[in-house]
Amino acid sequence: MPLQPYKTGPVCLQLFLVLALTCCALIPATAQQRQVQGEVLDAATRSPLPLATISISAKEGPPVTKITDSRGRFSFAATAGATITVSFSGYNTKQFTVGEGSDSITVLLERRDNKFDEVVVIGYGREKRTDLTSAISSMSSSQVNELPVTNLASAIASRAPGVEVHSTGYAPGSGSTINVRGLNSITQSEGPLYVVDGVALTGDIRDINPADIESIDFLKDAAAAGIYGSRASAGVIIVTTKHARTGTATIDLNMYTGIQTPNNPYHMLGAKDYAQLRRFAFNDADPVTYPIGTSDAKIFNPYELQSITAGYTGYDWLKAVTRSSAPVQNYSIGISNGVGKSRVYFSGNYLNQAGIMANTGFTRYGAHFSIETDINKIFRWGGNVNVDHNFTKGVSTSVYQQALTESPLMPIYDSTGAPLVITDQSTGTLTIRNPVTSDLYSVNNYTANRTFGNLYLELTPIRNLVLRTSIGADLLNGENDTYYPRNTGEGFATNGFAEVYNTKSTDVLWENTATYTLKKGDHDLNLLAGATYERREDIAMDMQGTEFPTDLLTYKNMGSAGIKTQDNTNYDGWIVESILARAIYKYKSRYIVNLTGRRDGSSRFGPDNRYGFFPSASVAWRLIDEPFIGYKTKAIFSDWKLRASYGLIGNQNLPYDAIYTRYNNAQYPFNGSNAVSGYQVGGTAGNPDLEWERQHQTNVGMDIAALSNRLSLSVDYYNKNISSLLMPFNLATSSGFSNEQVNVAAMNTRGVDINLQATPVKTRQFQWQFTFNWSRYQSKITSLFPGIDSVSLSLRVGQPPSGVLVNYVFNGLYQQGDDFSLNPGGKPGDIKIKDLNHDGKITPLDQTIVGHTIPGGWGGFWNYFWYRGITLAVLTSYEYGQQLNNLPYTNLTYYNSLYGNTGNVTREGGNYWTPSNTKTSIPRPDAFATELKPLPGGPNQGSSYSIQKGDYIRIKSITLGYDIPGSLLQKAKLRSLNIYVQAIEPFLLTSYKGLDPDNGNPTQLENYPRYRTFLAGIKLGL
Amino acid sequence: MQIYHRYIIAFALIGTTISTGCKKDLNYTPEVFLAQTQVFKDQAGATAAVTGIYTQLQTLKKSDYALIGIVGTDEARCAYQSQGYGDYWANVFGLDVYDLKFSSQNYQVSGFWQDCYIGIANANAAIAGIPNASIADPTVKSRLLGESKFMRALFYFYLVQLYGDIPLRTETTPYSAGVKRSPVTDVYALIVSDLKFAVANCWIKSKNPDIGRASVEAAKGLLGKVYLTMGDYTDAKTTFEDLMTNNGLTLLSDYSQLFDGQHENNAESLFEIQYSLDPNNTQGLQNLFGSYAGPGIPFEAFNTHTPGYGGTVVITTAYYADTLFDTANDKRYHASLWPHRYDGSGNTMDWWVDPGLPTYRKYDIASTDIDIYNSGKNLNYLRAADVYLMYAEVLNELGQTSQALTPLNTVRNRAGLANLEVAWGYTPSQAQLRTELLEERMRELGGEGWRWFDLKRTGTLVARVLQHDNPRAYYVNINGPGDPHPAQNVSAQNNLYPIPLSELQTNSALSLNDQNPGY
Repeated sequence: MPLQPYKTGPVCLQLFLVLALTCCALIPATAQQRQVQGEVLDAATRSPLPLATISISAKEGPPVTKITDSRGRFSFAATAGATITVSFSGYNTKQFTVGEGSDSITVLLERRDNKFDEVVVIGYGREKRTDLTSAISSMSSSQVNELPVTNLASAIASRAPGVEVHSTGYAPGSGSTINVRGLNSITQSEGPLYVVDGVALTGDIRDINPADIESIDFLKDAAAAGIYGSRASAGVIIVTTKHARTGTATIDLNMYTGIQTPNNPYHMLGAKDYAQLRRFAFNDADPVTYPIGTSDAKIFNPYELQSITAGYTGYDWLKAVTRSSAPVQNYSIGISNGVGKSRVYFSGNYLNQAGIMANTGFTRYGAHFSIETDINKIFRWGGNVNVDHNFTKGVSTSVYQQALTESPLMPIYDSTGAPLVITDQSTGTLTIRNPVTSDLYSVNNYTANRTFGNLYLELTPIRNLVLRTSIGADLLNGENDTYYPRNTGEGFATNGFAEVYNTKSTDVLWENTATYTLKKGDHDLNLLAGATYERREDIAMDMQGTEFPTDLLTYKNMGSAGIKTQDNTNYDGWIVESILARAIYKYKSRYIVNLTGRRDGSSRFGPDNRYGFFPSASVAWRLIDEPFIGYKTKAIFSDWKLRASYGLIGNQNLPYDAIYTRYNNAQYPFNGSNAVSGYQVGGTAGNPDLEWERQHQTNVGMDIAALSNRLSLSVDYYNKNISSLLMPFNLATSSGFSNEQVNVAAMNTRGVDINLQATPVKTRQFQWQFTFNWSRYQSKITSLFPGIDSVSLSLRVGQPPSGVLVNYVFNGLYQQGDDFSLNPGGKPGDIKIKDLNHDGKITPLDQTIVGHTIPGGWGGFWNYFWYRGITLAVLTSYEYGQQLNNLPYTNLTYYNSLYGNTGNVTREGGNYWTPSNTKTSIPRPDAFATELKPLPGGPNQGSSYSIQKGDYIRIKSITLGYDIPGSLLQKAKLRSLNIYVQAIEPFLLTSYKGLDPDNGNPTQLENYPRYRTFLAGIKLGL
Repeated sequence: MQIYHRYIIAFALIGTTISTGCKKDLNYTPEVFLAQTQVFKDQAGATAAVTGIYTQLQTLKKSDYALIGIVGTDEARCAYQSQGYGDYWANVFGLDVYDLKFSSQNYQVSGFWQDCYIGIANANAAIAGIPNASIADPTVKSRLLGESKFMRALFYFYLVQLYGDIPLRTETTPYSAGVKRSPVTDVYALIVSDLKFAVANCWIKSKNPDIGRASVEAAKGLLGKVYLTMGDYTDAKTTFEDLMTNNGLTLLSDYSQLFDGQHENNAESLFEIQYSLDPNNTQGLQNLFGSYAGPGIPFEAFNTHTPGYGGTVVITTAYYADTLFDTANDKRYHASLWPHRYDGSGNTMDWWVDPGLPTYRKYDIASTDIDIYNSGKNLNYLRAADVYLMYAEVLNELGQTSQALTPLNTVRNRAGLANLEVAWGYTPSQAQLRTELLEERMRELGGEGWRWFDLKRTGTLVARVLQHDNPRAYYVNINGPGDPHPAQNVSAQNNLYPIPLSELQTNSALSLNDQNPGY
C-alpha cells in the first residue's frame, strides 16, 4: 500500500529552530566544575535515546537542564556530588550523583511497564496510583492511539473495567454512549461528566483528536467522583491533553492510510427464488385472484416481468448504494517545546474517512495549542485551546434497509443510466421506489465547530501553597442540514423537503482552588479548597420546509420553501455554583485517608432545594509496607493494598422545566384568518420541591502486584443505592395536567470490576504483556411509587430500569389441522403465540419478559508481543449473557408488509413454511399482513421469535509494527520511527444473526453496514 | 515582593467574590417558556393566557373528538370501513354502536374529558391570575375575566351533559388535589353564574377587538341554552328575549354560505370556533366526514384533494339523508349533503363508502385549503338559527305553541319552506311541534355537533337511536341480518358517558366505584 510522501523540509527547519533555541539556553560552566559525558540507552535494546532530559542540580545555583543529542549522548559540567536526574517519556526516571572519577557514564533507562508508578489525574489534582484510595482506571496516550478511530469513545471501549461503550451508529462520525458502572437512574440517565483539561464537557467527546490525548482517567466510585458532587452520579471521565514535557523539544508525525471493506451478514434471495416466493405469497393469501401459473401480470410490475421474461435477470441493489472499498487517511503533527521557562505544545490533525455507503463520510480538521510559562517563582500562567471542525456526510436511515429488501427483479437504472424512478402506492403512502436516488441525491450533513480551552493563573505565595484560578469554556456549534429532492422517496410527495437544525451550547466554568501540602516526618497532608461557578446555555433552532420550486438550492435557501413546516427555537440553561474541599492524609505512606465534600447550588431546583451537600470518605491500607510482612512475602508480592470508600453523589439532570408550571405557545386566529399568539398551560405540572437524585455508593477494592510487578491485579466491588429517583407521577386527568415529576423511586446497582495485567515473558529479545478486564453489574428497581410495584410490564420492582425485553412468546408455527381459536383468521404457517394467561385469546396480557439486554459480563483482552523492535498487539473485546431483540433480522427473514408487499428476504428466509415444507421456523410469506395479522399488533411487533443471544468475541484490532533500530535512526537523524500495518475489527465470533451484537439494542432499521479496516501507518519522531 | 502582594490581594478578592456574589444567579430561569407567575403580569400576558383557552376549544373540536355529539345519534353513523381500520377506530366506532368499546377506556371518552379539563385548567388559571395583572383599563380586565368564565362554562356544559356528576375544579382547587364528583346541580350553578358574569362583562360583538371573542351575544345565547337544558324554561325565555330585544338576531339569507368558508363570523354567528390556513390552526374534519373534496391544488405532485385519500369515518343515516328533507324545496338538503360520493373528475364513487349513502357536505374543505387534513374553515358553535329553534322549543314547552311557530317559521322561510301551519295545513299540537322541532333541529343543525345533546335533553336518545341509526335497507340486504348496525346495544345508561378509567385511577378522591351506572 503506497504511503503518502511527506515533505520533510519545514519539519527539519522546525527542528533546527528548536535545537538552536536549546543551544541558547545553555549556561556556561564555572571553573570548579568538571566535564561529564555519556550516553542514555534503552536498557533492553541498548538503542540510544535521543532528547532524553538530563537535569543537573548542584547544592548551589539554579538547576540546569540538558537533553541528549540524536545519538543519545550528553555532556555537561558539574561539581562532584551534584544530583543528576535522567528522564525520558515512557521510561522510568533514573537518578545518580556525580562521583569523583566518573567522567564517562552509560545510563540505562528501563521502559515503564508498571502502572503502579503511574501518576493518576484525580479531580483537581494528581496522585500516585500507589496512593489512591478510590476506584480509578486510566488509559495512556499509547493505549488511546492504538486503535485509530474517529470517535474517541470507540478507543475507550473494552479498555477500562466498568466502562461500557456502545456506538449509536456505524456510519463515519457516529456518536457513542458511555455508561460508567451500570445504570444510575430510571428516567434521567445521561452520560458521564467529561472534564477535559479542567473544562467540563457535556454530551460527547467525539470532537477531540485522539492523538492529542495524554491520558484518560475514569473516576468510578463516589469517593473519586464526589469532588464533582451533583454531576458525578454517572461517573466522571477526565481527559488530559498533551502538554510539552519540561526540558524536551520534539516533533511527532503520525499518519496512516487504509481501506475499509463492507462486512454484510445479510445474503438475500436471488431473482428466481424471490419470484417464486412472491408467487407463493400471493397465491397463499388469495388463491382465487392469484391462481398458480397465470398470475405473474398481477403480481409483478412491468419492469419485473421483463426481467422474468429475460430469464430472471437479477439486480444487486446493495452494490448500487455501497462502496466495495472506502479509503481512510489521517495525518497528525505534534510539536512540543519544553525548553526554557515556557512550555509550548501545538498539534494539527486532518482525518478523512469515506463511508461504506456511497456518498457518506467524515472529515475532521483539528488543532490543539497549549502553553505554560513560569513568570517567576511565584507566578505561572498557561492555557489550552482546542479547535475542531468536522463534517459528516450521512445518508437517509432507510436506504440500506431498502436496498436489501428491494425486489432483485427491478432494474436499478433506466436506459440513460440514471436511477429508474417509478412511483408506487403499495405501501399506503405514495412514494417512489428507488433507494439509490436517496443515497446519491439527498443531503444529510452534520457540521460541528467546537472550541474549548481554558486560561489559568497559578500562584505559589508561600512554599507548598498553590492558588489557582482558571476560566474555561466549551463552545459547540452543530448544524444538521438535510435536503431530500423530488426524486427521493422522502422528498417526492412534498416537492422537496429541507431542514436546517442548529444547536449551540456554551459552557463557562470558573474555578478557584487552593492546594496546600505539608510533609513532616511520617505525616503527609494534602488539603484542597475551592469555589467554582459554571453556567451553561443550550440553544436549538429548527427550520423545516417543503414545496420547493426546484431542487437546485436545497436547504441553503429555506426562504424558497412554499410551506414552512417547522420554525422553532429552544433554549435551556442552568447555573451551578459550588464550594469544595478535600483532605488527603497519609501516615508513613501506609495508611491513607481521603475526605471530600462538595456543596452545590443549582438553578435547576426550586428556591428551597437549591443546595445539596455531597460528602465522601475513603481509606487505603498499604499492607505490603507493614513491618509484619516478611521478607519472603515481599520477595513475591511487590504491592498489596486494600481500599474502601463510601460517599454520596448526586444527579442534577432533570427536565429543565420540571420545577415550573410552564405556559407553552398557543395560537388562535380570532378572525378566522390571522393567528394571534398566546400561551397555554398543561401537560407537565411544575414541582418546585424537586431535589437531586441521590446515589450512596460503597466501594471496596484491592490492588495486588507480584513478581517484581510483572503480575498485577485490581478488584473492585461496588454497591450503589440510588434514591429520590425522578418519576413522572400521573395527576388526575381532571386537573388538566398529565403529570408532575416527583422524587420517589429507588434502585440498586452493584457490580464487580477486575483488571489483570501481566508480563509473562520479559527477556532482552522477547517480551509478552497482556491485560485482561472483566466487569459485570446488576441493576434493579427497589421501589417505584408508594404501594405501586409495577408501572408496566418492563418497568417494575425487581427488574432493571431499562433493557428489559417484553414481548409475546413464540410457540412455533401453526400447522394444517391445528386449533386456530387463539388466532381466528389465522392460517397454517402463521406464528403461534403462547396464551400465557389461558383466557383463550391473545391479548397484550400474554406478553412477558423474554430477555434482558444487560450483559452478564464484558471486557477486553489485550496482548502485546515485542521481538527485537517488532511489535504485535491484539485487542479483543467480549460480551456475554445478554439477549437482543433482533427485529432487523426478523424483518429481513420474514416476508411481510413492513417494507411493502414486495420485500426481498434473506436466503435463510427462503426456507419459509409451505404446505410441503412444514419443518421450518420461518413463517409463511404474508402478502397481505395488515389484513391477516399473524401477530397481535401487526408483524413488526415481533415476539420471542426475534430474541437472540448477543454473546460475542471480537478482535478489535491487530497491529503489527516495527521500530526502526537506533543505529539506522542515527544515520537518518531521527528520534524514533515506527511503521505499522493494522486490521481493525477483522473478526467477530458470534451466533447473533445480524449486523452487530455490540449495539445495546438494535433498532428496527439497521441503517448502516459494518466494515473491516486495513491500515498502514508511520509514526515519526524528530 | 511588593508587586506580588498586589496580585495576591487581587487573587483573594476574586476568589471570595465567587461564594458571595453569585447567589442570586441561581434564580436564573430558562426563558424559552413562561412560568405561571410570569404570565399574569400585564395586559399582554393576561390576554395571551386567555387566547390559550380558546386554543384549547380549537384543539378539542379539530380532531376525532369532534365526533362526540354527532355519532351515535339518528343523524350520523360510522361507516363500515372504520371498523376495519384497527383498534383506534374501533373506539370511534364504539361511540356509534354503543358496544363494548363504549367503555371507560374508550380513547374518545377519555380524550374529550381530558381536553375539556385542560380548557378548564387554563380558564381557572386565568380567572385566578387576571385580577392581579396590571391592566390600565378596568373594562378590558373584566372582559378578559368574562371571556375566561364563558369558556369555563362552555367546557363544563359539555362535561355535565356527557358525564353527569363531575369533579368541579375551580381556580381555588390545587391541581394535585383529588376532587370528588359534584352533583349536576352544583355544576349547573357554576355554569350559570359564570355565564351571567360573562353577560355582564364581555363586550358586544360590534365592540370586540377581535370578532371571534366570546361576546355578550354569545354569552346570552349559551346561557339560554343552558337554562333550556336544565328545564328552566322561564329563565331561558327571558334570556332569549333579552338577546333578541337588546342585541338582535339575524339569519343569513343563503343557508349554504354558513359552510362555504367564505362567510366566517357572519351576522348570524354568535360564536364560532376559529380556524385558519396556518398549519397550527387548521382542522381535519374533512378526513372524518370524507365528502367531496374539491379541486386539486396547483403544484401538488398528486392530488391530495382526491376523495378516497383519507378515511370516510362518518356518514349520514338513511333517516337523515333519505326521509327527513323535502328534497325539492328545502335548500338545506343540498347544502348539507352530497347525494353521492365523487372522485376528482366528478364521477360517483359510491363503492367506496357504504353504497349509496350520502355523505356530509358541511365539512368540505374549501378550494383554498391545504389538503384534507388541513382546512381553515371555522366551525359553527352557536348561531341565530339555533337560538330561534331553542326559543321556539321554550315557548312550546311553556304551552305557547302558536307563538312558538313564529321563530320556527323564521328558520323555515330562510330554507325556502313555507310556514309550518301553511305547509301542514293545520296548527300543530304541543306534542306534534315538540317532535317537529326535534326534526327541524336536525335539518338545520345536522352534523354541527349538537344532536346527541338535543336527544338527551328531550329524553329521546335511546328511542331515536334504535329507530334511526341505520344504514339504507339496500345495504342491510347485502350484508344480511348479522350486520352490526343498527345500534341495538343502546340503553338508558347511555344517557351518560362513562367516567374515564384514567380519571378514576388518577384522582385520589375517586375509586373505581365512582362510575356511572352500567359501565
